[in-house]
Amino acid sequence: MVQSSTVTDLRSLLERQGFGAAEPRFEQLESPRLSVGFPEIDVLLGGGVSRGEILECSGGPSSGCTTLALSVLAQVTGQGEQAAYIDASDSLDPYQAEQAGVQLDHLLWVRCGVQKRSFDWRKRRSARSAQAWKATQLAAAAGGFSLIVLDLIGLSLAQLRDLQRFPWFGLRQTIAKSSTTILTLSAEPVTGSVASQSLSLEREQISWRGSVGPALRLTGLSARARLLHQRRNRFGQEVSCRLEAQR
Amino acid sequence: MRKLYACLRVKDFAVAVVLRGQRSQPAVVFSGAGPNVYVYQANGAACATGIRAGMTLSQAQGRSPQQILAAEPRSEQAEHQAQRELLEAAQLVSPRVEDREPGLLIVDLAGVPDAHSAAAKLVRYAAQLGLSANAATSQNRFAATAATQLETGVTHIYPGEAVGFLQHLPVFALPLLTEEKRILKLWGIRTVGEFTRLSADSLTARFGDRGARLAKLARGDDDSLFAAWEAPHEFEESVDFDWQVADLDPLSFLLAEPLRKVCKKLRSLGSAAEAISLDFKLSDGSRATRSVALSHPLTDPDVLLKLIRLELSAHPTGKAVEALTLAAKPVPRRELQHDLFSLARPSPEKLAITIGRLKELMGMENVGAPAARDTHEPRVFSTRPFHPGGAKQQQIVSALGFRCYRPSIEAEVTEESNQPAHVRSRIVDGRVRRCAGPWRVNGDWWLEEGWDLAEWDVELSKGLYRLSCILHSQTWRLVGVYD
Repeated sequence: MVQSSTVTDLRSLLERQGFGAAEPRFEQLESPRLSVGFPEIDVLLGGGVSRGEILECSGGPSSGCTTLALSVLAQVTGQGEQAAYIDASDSLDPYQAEQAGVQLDHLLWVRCGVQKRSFDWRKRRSARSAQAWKATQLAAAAGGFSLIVLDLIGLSLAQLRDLQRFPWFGLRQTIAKSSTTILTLSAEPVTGSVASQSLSLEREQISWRGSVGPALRLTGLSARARLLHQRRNRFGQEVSCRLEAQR
Repeated sequence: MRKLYACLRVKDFAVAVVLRGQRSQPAVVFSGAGPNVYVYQANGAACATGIRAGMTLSQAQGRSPQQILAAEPRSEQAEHQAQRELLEAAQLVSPRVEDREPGLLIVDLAGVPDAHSAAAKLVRYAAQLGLSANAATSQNRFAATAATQLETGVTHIYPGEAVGFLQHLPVFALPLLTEEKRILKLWGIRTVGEFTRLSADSLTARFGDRGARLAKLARGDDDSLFAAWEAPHEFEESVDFDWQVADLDPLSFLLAEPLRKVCKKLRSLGSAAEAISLDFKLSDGSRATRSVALSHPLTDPDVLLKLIRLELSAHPTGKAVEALTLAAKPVPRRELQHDLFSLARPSPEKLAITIGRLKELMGMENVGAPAARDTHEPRVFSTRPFHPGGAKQQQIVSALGFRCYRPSIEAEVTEESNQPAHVRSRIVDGRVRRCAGPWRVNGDWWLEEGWDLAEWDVELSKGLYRLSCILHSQTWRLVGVYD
């Protein structure tokens, strides 16, 4: 079990002051964790993504958020577990997901914003984010989905601000006692302090191989992951990892 | 209780079904298409003119120049329906009816007080269906079957006379194969009586196990099992309302009872509903149908009622309802064996309701497992019903994520040396740092909506994008971003 330095300091202080017996002696069971498929990020997250909690992942275009989500989905569906992908901007590429190892049979794809269109841009804006939120609530309440990916990347800043007003704490309570993990993807953090872990991804370098023109091939990109906050106070740490291209 | 059977036979069943009540004229039914049209069955009048099954239709028509030959295509559906009607009619006489072959039934008359009138009733019921039939009663099923083949009308073989009746039958009344008929003809065996005088050893040596069984049949010892026909179960309930129902809440209240009955019936027979269909009679006399396809077979009426409510709220009938018919499509119930070492999955009931609610929210086609469409056009996908199976071994590789823009975004592209040099669109504007391509993809070129694309991976300061040039119109679109 990974413990923060603060907890270690507090425990030693209690023991020095003679209050060691006051500390609860029950063994806290570590909930099983999901690997994200990138060892560096697993270490950064303290062993992977916690079940029953919300992981937030934010970053700009080509920062690797989608790659990370597909990698977690591949780990989950590869074990025969079921996952839901709430696609607020209808941008999932199932072909690329299958290439990444996601078993599409085990993935419930919810495409938001396609059905109920409105000519009023305010209504349309709120409809997309509201649909995504409602779909996430329904999937979380159903139970049994090991992973719910809430993909908000294509939404505008105004739509993200709308989402910040939604009751994220209630959503966390819904999944707290279950094995469901919610992974949110967005351009900017939206969950506030509700997410147990918040990652920020930033593109470092795009790698090419070969000369110019048709002989040039995209081979991958490297990204820097930064832990914005974590309940166990490991915020501020950074790692770099390389995301490979597969065409 | 003494054994007694009645056999009902409709001769030339395929013809009789197609031409109900018109048996006097020569008639055939044919099968096949184009030049390969063959006579499948000919009735007695047609056989009298020399027409046989297996002839081409033109040959058959050539055999009856003087008379009009009625020729109709064979209808297996009509045969199936007629057989079902005959079985149901026979069940009015006795509950135990065996479905031997198309046009041939055996009815168990044990316990029926008057066998003579029962056999007459069978013939009369068949006549009411437009089918002319022969019937025979006997303690021996083979004797009764043979009698309907050789005699017309109603034949009664009294107890103790069955063996004597069989002795005089031609040997071909036995169920013989072509080769067996040829051998018996060579041996000079013409009647069943002569057949019974052959030694059992020689028959077994020549015909094997079949020889012994044929000998038993010929001696009047028919020990085959009686397989009683059972009408297929129907999971359907109809309700006529005393008043018109316009709102969903009272309608769902009224739906609960028929749904509960259907579910009870399904459970009692070890089945579950795979789909529920609803047929409404509306206030203006028109009809409306709605169906609920389930991702998992269910028998819980509360869950099914919720799903029906979701379907009706998404697709209301529009008018008040006067009557409804609710039908369930049954499938064998599956018992799920959960794994001790894997995480719990959504329960089928909860999953069905969740998917139903999501479909109501997003639209029917926007919820499900991702599925490729029948095209090579890139980034075109749809959804299919979510039926997760077992885990398959699939290699997990690190693949760069890609996000599609649906719809794609119009872009202005400046080219240098036949390569994109500058991209401007509503989401990105910048000089191309590096680019790879073009990759040509085309398809549906035989249609008006054919597509022909040249695609590029372009690195801009803001990110790594996929650019597509529509070659027909020389317009550029941003189709996605690597992420």
